[in-house]
Amino acid sequence: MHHTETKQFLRRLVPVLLFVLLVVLGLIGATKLLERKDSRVKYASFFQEAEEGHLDILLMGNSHVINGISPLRLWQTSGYTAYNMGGHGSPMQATYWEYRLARQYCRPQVVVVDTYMLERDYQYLDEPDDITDPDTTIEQLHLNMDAFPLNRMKKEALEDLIHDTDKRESFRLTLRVYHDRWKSLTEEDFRALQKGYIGSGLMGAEIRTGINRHPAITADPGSEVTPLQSETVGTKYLRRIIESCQEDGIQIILTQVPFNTELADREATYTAQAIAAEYGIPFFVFPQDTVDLMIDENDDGHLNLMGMIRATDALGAFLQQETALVDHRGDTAYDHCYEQLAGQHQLAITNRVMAEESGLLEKLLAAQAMEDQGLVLYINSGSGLWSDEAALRLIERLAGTPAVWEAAAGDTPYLLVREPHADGQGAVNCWEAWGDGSLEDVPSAIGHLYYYPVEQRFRFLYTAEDMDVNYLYDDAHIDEDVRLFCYGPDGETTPVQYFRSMGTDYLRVK
Amino acid sequence: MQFVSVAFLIFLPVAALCSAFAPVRLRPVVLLVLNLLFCASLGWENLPFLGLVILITYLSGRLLENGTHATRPVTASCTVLCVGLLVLHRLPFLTGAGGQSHVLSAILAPVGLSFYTLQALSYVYDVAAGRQETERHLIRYAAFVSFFPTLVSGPITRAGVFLPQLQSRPAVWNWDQIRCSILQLLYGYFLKLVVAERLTIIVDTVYRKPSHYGGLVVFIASLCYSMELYCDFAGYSIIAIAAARLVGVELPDNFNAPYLADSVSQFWHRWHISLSTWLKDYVYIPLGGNRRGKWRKYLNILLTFAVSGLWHGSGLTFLIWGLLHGVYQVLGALLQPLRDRLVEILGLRRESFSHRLYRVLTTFLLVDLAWVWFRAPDVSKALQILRQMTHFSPWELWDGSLYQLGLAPVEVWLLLPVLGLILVADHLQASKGDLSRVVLRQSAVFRLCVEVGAVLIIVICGIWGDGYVAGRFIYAGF
Repeated sequence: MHHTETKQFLRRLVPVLLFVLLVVLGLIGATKLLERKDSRVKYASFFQEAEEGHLDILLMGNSHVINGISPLRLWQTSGYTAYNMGGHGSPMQATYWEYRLARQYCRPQVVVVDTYMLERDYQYLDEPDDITDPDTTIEQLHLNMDAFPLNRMKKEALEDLIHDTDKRESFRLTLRVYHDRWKSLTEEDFRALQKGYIGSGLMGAEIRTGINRHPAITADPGSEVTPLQSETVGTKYLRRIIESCQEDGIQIILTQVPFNTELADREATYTAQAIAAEYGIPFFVFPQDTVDLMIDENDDGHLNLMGMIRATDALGAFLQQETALVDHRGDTAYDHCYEQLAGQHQLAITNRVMAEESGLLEKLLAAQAMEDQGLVLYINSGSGLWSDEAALRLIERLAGTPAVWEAAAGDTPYLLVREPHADGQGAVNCWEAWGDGSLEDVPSAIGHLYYYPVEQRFRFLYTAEDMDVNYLYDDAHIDEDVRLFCYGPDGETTPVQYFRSMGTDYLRVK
Repeated sequence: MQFVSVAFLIFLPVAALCSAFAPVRLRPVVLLVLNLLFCASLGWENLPFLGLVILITYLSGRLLENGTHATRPVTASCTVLCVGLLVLHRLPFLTGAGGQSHVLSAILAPVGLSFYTLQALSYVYDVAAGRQETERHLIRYAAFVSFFPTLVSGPITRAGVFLPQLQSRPAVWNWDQIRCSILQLLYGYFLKLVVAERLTIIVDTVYRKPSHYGGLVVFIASLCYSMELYCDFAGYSIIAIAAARLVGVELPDNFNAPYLADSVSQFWHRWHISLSTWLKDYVYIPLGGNRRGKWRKYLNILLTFAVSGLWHGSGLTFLIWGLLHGVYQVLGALLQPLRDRLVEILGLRRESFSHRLYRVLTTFLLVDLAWVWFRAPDVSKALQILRQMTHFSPWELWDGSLYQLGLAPVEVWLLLPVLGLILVADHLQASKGDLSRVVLRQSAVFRLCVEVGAVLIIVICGIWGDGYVAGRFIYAGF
């Protein structure tokens, strides 16, 4: 080639290369900016902890696991490091591949698998049964899959889980599904572009703080329950998970997180127990009193914050018995993650109690898990709350005694002072007064409290240190029948929050 | 393999390379193979129809060449055979209202039949009229009729333009040609994916239940349809022209800023130019054109537009649409003296911007009202939409009604600058010619920004991906 031709060729080549480079960079940037962040957020800490070799337990399954087992609670109570790998709407085959994908990055000592949906008998998630919406299932699968880099294993998983090649393609090139998010980009999307993905701080779990007001509690079918009649896709993949774990030398435990089960679910559980027995592995049955479905469910099937805590505590106790896992609490290598996150988690719960936008029941629910703040709750006589069974159960659990039921039966005023233990480690002291009862010299962080019910619209609640402040009196809120406030260990109080009961709804009055 | 598909974006550069590096003698063969692959990718059932039309018209050409046969019987029988296929496909008792075949859908819905039939017939007519030499080389001729960029929806290309280009090495590997083609492709995809697909959502929403909306929204939806149709079909044509350029064939423009036309007749010189000129050359002029007196000319105009309407579909709405355009032109001609007198009395300057703007807007409005008939599934729906437009409801412009038409508010706002950009692009095209060359004359940094920006805008703001029915261009249905 002549010198001039070479020069001309290069002069043409440079803009082409520049064009290609800028387009590629632009597309990479666009993919990162536009992708839905749920999956990255869910697994951000997983990759980090897996790299450091910190993961003792993988919690596998579906949304029941996501909302049912808290790795941070497990850390707080037993010092085990777990990651919640549950996927919304994940049938067993999706769980199997989730396990295989996760195994590329870590080697846990224990895998806990929830066996819900074992009876589902379809292979492809885009061609499910009549009950399941394929679009929703595929969308949910993105939560499980997007964070994992595209490699041979992921391709194999996609081929096994999705029949339609176009839908499969949307997992390989996520821009196909997410490019349309340009019109709903938020500050977080741009932050992720700048600073990378920040985990939710819950190690894969999600917390729900609602109360299922109409739980569909089904009757115990008793002897009607039999195992599933034949092998299903669910059972096939459960066996594959068990065999994979056993091949890898990983202890596997089957379970089913508590929820309102129907006959088909119970048959599936029965089958799972039989499979566990067949392979000689434990099946953890949650004790009957683990959760109270009247107040521990967010909605049908999903536990709320307290349900999660109680279920996690039960599982933790079982793990302590059944496994040789080591308590890492006190090990400084874990301080920056589990220890720190557990602290942040506690703060988030406290914030939930204090948040302006959260409803009364949500506050009563979150307050049960609040360990660093005191709480004062007052309910006036004539309150609609006295006929709200869920609210009464929540208060009973908050106080630790059934006194609130007496107040409700007598339609009397009720006061609860809940004082956290000085070391903030979970133990609490509670004082209650109802009817004509009063409280005197209650040692709280805000001072020594005194409570006297003078008349229906006038009650005294003050401290010996500052008798001029009556916490239960406010001209502007004289008609509000429910009021509460929190206080910190330093005696700092939050503003009193007022609610007016309207049937079993509670109107926040400012 | 639709134009809007990854498969096509892979096929096109491969086709370009094959065409560029094939020896001149083998170019027709290479092109034909590519054409047949493309056609087969749209469905194997398309191949017999394509083969049939090629054979009928090729043999007709050969018969006309020999001179042993009288011209008329050959062209007439060729026309009957080819148009017969078309008509059969559109007969009301065989097809549904929208021209979709019920009874014979499996065998009589070949892709692009209307377009390549007209293309092949134009060759026969030109040979019969002595304007075109007979093509003896069957493969070369087949490559012309089945040319993949124009197969589905045109532009309807004349043999005189196409065939000579097969006999020489393509000039396409000229650097500027490639860059022009890429820019054109980007503009075509932009029109289709970013604009037309978005406007479709508004139009479909309103046309489904026009009675649910006030006059302003229905009117805006009709404007949106005008733009949708333009962006969809012009986008298609631009992609086709760019694809043809990449395989070494230059095709004439099919659109030239039609909505900037200042009369209906000028609109038809700028809209779907290849069909308009086809109808002019092979329907209007043979009918006598303007050579047989004023009234006969008007009748010829009406007949030509009636044919145009029926070509688009068998429904009465298409006939009305075609006739409406004929009536616009006849009335325009009849009222010309009156309009001239009015201009004189009012002292208007014909070349002033305001007068030209008035003419452009009036033309656009007339064309827009005619499109209502083109889009509506039946006469009663068209009348309902036109009636609905008369309902006075200006508040819909600011009461949020425009955000209830299937698009997010930000998308509605996005359409404004985008439509403005198209207006500017059309103006540039009308005044300076090929738009891609206008961009190429700019600085390297500007060009790079335009090219990279266009790719990213199409990928991000385009409507594609899961749930998108790949590339069903409106004109592919005709």
